[in-house]
Amino acid sequence: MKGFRVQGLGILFAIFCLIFAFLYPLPYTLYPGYAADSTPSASVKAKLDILKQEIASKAAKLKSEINQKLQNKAYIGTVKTKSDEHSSTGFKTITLAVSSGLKLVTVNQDTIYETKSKRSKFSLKSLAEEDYVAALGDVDEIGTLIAKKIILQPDPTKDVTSVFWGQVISLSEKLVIKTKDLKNITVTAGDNTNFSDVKLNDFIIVTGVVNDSQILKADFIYVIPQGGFLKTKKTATPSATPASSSAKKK
Amino acid sequence: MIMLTNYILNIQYQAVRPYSLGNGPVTTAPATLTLAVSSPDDDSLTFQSAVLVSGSTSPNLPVLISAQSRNVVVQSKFDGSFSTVINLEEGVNQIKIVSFSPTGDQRSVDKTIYYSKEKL
Repeated sequence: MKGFRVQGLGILFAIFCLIFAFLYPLPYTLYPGYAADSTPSASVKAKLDILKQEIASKAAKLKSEINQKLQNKAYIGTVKTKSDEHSSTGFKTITLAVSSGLKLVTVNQDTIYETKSKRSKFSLKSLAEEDYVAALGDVDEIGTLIAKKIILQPDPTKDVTSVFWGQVISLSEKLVIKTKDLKNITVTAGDNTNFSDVKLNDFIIVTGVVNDSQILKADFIYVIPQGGFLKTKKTATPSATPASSSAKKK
Repeated sequence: MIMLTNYILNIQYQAVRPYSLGNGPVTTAPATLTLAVSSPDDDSLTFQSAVLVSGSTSPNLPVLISAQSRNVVVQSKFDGSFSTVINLEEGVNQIKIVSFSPTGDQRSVDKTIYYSKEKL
């Protein structure tokens, strides 16, 4: 009986030793210690500082780019309206029709008025509707130009320069090109152009002014070295017609 | 190594290989012709007598840059980019940029800039 008790105590002791042996390393494995010199807050703070610097640098660059876009602008177009002095700002405004639409220009006591030749006098009072002007200055966030200078321009030329691409199908004193739309355009040499470099079947780019006789007076001719090709017009295929009498509408 | 070099050279050769009417188009025409002009800014005022004209279109295409003082055609590069410097006339300068596909399709962008010899 005593032997059994001793044996039981031994087994209990052995179990206790085993449990102790298993549990002893637990605090060292589940909860590892951190190095004192790399705390999480230190590394996060360093990263945040770097991020702040990057953001500040990018913001400064963006601001500089925006300022560049707003400075030194020129609105060129015809005067559409001229308004009286604004009660609060003291500015007068001019509406210009430019190629991209209507633009607002404000003028003040510092705005300089010039003609292109700088010989004749010009002022805001003498500015009339349909005058062709260039307003120079900086623009604000909403695109209104604060004019430092307004220059009266001569009326824009009525001659519109046309650009054509095509294949040379005839070449003599005049040349004829067939365009993408398979239309024939007759071209004459201009004051500074000739056809010496042009050969039959060449593909060319030509610019110039088309006269009343629909003849283009060339002021620039360029032979495309890699050539090109014209798409032929598609014609209706026989399958487009009814195949049999039964297909015909009765 | 030699095979790799030949492969790269072959790709580059094909990239600049021109198309011709006789042999048919080697370079396939772009599905959609695009043109974007990054410089100069529209409605800009410059105090320099020359301006950079640059942008991008489809690869290996002629691009016409037409200004009052001069017309010039440049070829877009393999990546579609193009650039050239043009001289300006004092005052208003209308610049037209046009790219052409091998079949004659065109894309055009107009820019208006003002060249002043005097600072404001």
